[in-house]
Amino acid sequence: MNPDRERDLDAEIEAHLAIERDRNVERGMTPEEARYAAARKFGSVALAKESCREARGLAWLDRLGQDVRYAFRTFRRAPGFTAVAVLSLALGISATTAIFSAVNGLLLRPLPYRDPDRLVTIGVTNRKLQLGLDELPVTAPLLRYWRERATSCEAIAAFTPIAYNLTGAGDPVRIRGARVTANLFGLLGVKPQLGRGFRAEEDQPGRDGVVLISDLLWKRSFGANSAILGRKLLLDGVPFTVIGVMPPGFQYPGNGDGLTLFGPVERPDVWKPLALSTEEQQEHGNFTYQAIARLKPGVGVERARAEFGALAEQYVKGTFLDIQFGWELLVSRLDDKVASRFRTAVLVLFGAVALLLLIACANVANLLLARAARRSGEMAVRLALGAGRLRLMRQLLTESVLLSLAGGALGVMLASGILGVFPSLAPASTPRLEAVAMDVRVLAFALAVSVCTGLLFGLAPALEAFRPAWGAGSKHGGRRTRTRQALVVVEVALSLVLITGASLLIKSFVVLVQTPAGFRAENVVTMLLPLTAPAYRDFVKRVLFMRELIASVEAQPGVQAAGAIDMLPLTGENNISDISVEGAPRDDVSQVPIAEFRNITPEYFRAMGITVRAGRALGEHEGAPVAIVSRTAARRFWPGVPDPTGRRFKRGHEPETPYLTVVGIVDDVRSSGLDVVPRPQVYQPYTHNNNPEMSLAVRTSSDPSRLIAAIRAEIRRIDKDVPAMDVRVMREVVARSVSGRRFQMLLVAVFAALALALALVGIYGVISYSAAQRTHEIGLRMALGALPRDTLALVLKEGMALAAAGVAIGAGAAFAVTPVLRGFLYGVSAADAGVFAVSALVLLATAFVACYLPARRAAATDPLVALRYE
Amino acid sequence: MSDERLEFLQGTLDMLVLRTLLFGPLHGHAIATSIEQTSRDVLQVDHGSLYPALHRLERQKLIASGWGVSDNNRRAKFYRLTAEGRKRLNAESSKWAQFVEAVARIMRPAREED
Repeated sequence: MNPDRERDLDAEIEAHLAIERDRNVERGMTPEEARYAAARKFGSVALAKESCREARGLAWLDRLGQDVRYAFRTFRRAPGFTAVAVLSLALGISATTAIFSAVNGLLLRPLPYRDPDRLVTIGVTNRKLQLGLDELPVTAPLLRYWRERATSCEAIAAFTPIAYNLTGAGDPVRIRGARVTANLFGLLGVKPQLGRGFRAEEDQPGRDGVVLISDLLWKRSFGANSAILGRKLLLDGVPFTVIGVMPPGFQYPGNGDGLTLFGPVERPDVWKPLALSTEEQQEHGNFTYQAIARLKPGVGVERARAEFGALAEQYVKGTFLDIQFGWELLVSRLDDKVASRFRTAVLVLFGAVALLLLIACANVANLLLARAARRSGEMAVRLALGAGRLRLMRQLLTESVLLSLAGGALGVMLASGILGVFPSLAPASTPRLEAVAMDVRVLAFALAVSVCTGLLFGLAPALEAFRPAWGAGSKHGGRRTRTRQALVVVEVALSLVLITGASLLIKSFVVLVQTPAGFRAENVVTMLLPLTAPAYRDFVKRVLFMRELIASVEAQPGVQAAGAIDMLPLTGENNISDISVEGAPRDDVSQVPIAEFRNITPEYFRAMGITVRAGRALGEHEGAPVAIVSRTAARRFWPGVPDPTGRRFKRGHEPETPYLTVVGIVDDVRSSGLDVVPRPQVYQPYTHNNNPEMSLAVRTSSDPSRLIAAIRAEIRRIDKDVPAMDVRVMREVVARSVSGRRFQMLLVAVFAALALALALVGIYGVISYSAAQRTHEIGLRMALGALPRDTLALVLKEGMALAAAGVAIGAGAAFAVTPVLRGFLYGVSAADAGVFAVSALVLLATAFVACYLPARRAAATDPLVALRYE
Repeated sequence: MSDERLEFLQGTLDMLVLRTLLFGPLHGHAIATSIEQTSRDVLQVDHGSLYPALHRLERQKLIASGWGVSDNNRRAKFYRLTAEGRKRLNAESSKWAQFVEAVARIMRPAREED
């Protein structure tokens, strides 16, 4: 309100009254009479002023100011109510805002590339082969065929992941990255922040000794010094010239954006030209190159798919691909593909917080209704004094919107706190975590949610302003009570949906972590030892290194066994091939058995606690080609043969590949995830076949982390340039493999717990209010001989009836809703009767607690006091 | 007097205020008195509703205001007609004349029966 204008108005009206008084005196009235007559003639000064303000057109603003100030006064008078209301809302809004940040960052915000909607990935799949993979990258010859002929796209780029030991810059470290075609960065529309990108001529063997490094590596290892340009980096002992530094945050093809199909490339640090060798260009069976294309403007994904498909068909005629039927081409938009990875997970969380917010709203609406009942006297007086109903309604809505804005402000603060600790809570493998942050859109969302919730929960009490009950100054609020009861039923029902969902996820998680993994993770420490330096190019050197290392580690006190394998379980890496069983036909493509191949040292099974079920483990000196297979492999390759030791099979189907003789059978290992049914597994001695990247596994008699320093010292003693990477106790590896599920479960469980707490408060509020309203009735009943027990039952019955109604509705709603969780559940059905029953019981028990307190209070009523109670 | 008092038709007060200000600036009380006297006390101005009308007209820039001194030496707010107000008054006057004529034509038969 403008104070000047207000003073002006006062003076103007005062002058009018004075002039009228003067005239009245002139007419012969006494001053006293003159004043009364003037005042009578003028009518209500307050009303006139109000009308003047309204005529000035700023009335709504003035009134808003008044309403706001009035609201603040009422809040100050009811601090308890205000605190509970604001806190409930802050809980709901902070959770919603935090999850919306994820929705925004992961699903709504465009990928950080030029025209990301024109980027597509190209892959293949084969539904007939039991690959256990949804999509495979493509082969080099096919890629080349497309790049030469495709017209629907501006460019096609490709990459394949790599990892190097970086030496000569402090301690040796393992860095990951990709070999990329020279056009990749241009295709994405990303330029280095320093230096230049790859030139086309650098994309050939011999001229490819150049690398681009990540901003993070530049800062961490080279102090962000621009003198890095032109410097030589030793990668696996080979010098590469640094030609540029990529901008901060650029992570392609990182885990989130690049969608490599080879397992996670967490945080690429280095890029080098793809520079395919002549042999690589001929590999028809090597599905290793992830292709990404930029479509020409106006070209749809369908047209691109048709063209790529037609070209592929033309190309594969008479090749390996043609023989093995069932190949299909997959072309999809990059952003769709990135988003599809977490769309359901994020939307499920968003649904959960939306429920939580609704429950908070119901709760606050309930509080407001209870307060409205207490304020009905005030409202009746204000109506009688001439306040319009619309005006009162607006006043009430102002109050509720103010409450929700306060809740929203607190909620945003909480949410930014949550987002601050999010990265440390979320599993490290969560893709695109950096995209989850507050921005203008998130803040706008929080504001909109606050205002909408304010209107939503303010509506019920505000509508009461239109009920005649107020005008009559009625003390009775039957309708209001029914509204409140309905709100409690809704609240209980919504809570049950959340609790059921959370219980399903919890049970699923418990089932999952209790699933036998096939190995014993306790007291095992693992680390990756990449033997990729030129000195280890000869595979015998690698065998010698491992043999010496394992012997010296086993000699350490406290070590029970030490072994090595090329790919540890649950690390996302794999090596899969088709196999041929001796004497078995191989004509039906869909029946070709697939197996995971691993190379191990003799003591690996003992170190990891994998039980040998038949035959023997591998020895240090295996002369003949031998292998150990898993039980699933034994069952699948030799159905009906109780002990297939001595049987033979081979990797692939080439005639010149030697057969491997089975010497032992071991337990299945859940290598791809605790929730993934194991494929057939084959273990070969590392002395026959090995991989430069071996992981050491050491079983100790006590806490394995205490031995890490000693093991590192042994490694340094043998070769100071071999980095010990990813040092982890096996328990941690297992925990990491389920961390995504655990995170999701914890979030939903927290939301459900909050919902339960809100429901508890809601039920308590309604029941204690209704018991207080019935004090008179209760007093009468007791005076007429009712026992405290009867009163207790009376109040409990009312509350439990509401809870039961809520549980019945909620169970139905949960039954309808939980199928969306199906993709996240392991070993438990979305309609698991036990889970539904337990959830309902938890809620009923909570309701019982919430009702018991007011019931006991009512039962302790003194009839004399109660009868006098008004 | 009060028996013969006429209720103002919606908007009529605005027109009367403009008409009253045609001959020079006046303060609120004088406007009310002038309307009452000119109509020979048939029209009674509700003083309370006069000011909202004045403020409304001022917001529409049909009149302007300033502080001055009244006949009996009281500081009072004076209102004067603006050029726009004059234009509006002309328009309203002819509309009013048409309205009165139309009402009169409808009411005539009743009067003939008297």
